[in-house]
Amino acid sequence: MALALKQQSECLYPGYMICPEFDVVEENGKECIIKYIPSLGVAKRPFSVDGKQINVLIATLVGNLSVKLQEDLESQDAEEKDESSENSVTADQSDDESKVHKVYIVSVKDEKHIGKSVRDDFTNNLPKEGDIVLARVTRISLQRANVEILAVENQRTPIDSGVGSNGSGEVAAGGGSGAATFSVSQVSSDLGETFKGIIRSQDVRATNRDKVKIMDSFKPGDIVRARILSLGDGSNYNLTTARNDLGVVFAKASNGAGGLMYAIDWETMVAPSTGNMELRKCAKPFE
Amino acid sequence: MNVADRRRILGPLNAKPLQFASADGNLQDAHLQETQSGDETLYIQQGIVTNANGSAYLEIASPTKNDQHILLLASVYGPRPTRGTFSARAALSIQFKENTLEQFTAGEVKELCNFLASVFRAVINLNRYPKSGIDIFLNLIQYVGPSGTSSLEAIIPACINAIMLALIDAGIETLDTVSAGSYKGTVISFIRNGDEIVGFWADNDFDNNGSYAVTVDKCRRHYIQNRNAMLDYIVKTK
Repeated sequence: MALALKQQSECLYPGYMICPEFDVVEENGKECIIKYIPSLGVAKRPFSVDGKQINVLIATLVGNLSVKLQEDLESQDAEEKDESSENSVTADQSDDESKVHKVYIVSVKDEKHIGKSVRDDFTNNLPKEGDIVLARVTRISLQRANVEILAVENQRTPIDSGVGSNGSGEVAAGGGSGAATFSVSQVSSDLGETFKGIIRSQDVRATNRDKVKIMDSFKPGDIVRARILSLGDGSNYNLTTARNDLGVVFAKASNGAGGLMYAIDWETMVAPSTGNMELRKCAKPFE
Repeated sequence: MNVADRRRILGPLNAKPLQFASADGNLQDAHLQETQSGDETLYIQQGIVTNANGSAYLEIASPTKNDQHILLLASVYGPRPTRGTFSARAALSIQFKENTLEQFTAGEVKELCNFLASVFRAVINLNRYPKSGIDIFLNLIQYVGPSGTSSLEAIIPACINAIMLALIDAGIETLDTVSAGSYKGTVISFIRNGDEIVGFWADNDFDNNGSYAVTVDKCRRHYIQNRNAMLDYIVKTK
């Protein structure tokens, strides 16, 4: 495959045309249609070639090309999704779609960041649906726990983590991009601006969901491992801890006055220095 | 005179003054580059603002244009969270500040920021960053225009180049490597190898005698010089 050859050597830059969305190759004497799906660092843009509109994948980041074959099952899913979401596909395009044999995911990786991430893919910084995040509980009420998102698991944090995007970096006169809606009262005390989230009491655990008491599940200051349910509204993501490996990972005894506690089962933590036990919805520490 | 100095806290008697290791000069050289683009000399350095997500410092000298000098620093913060209503795309704000001499009025600066924001709204892949905002800061450290005059059109291409390099350093997705060219008070910003225009700026003293086609062509040439210089730098420093 011609694309694979390019993979190692060339340095791509924003605007670099990678390939058309669809391609036809000869394989074992058969015609095989290949579809390329844009992933991180790649965008799909319409181009006109000799008066004909075609979709082309272009790079949006500086880095090296990476092309992966999508697993068969997933590719069928993706096709179905594509067809349902793109209502405006023209007749010949949807015809192409039905013949697709192979689907490749195209992304642009930056070597500079590889050492910094847990997974060696260059990934986007923003929390998105399905991501596992680490969050800190900022306040609790009977119905929900408010949290601030500290990091997205298996993804690199932005360079200015703790200062700029997560903290008190330079802010433009009048509040910059957040101007219209920014309010000092919503800024957390020591981390500055962070993405906020809500864990509703129904989303704390998977069983016996009506009996959940937020007070017995989280305390302000706890570090919680949670999954993003949805992007939520303008100010909050919706999170859930309804899984064995999700829940409180770090908590301090006596509302933060004591030392770090250890989980002894899924709903109890113990302070080793005093032996006191406290209730939490704990994350299973081992796989 | 044997009274102890009580005004300050003195260190222990055997204290030694702090000594810092000398900076390694070779380390920096890798990121420096001087590029000759046409009649201009361009000096680029990325990532010098450590607490920003990305930054770029630009020095432009044009000996042919009566020794015009521009020193410019662009820094990119974000994507950071926004509050209030849900937005599926990122919000963008651009701030321009003159660090030394104030040569432009507040109105001109605002106009410039609005122009730059409209250019970059067309170029940044805003859909990738829902519920967040990107803040860009431009610091004009020095600007010496031809024969002491100051005009915005001279610095706009530099602003666009600096922001583009800062965005690349920040790893923010952009649909193209945008740049601009200027000719006789007109600045045109292009993408897609000069096939598409994303910004058009005409100063008051626009030369009415010259045709638009000539202006666009001259600007495109300048744009291609600028863009090639940037791409050269990006590919070499990779």
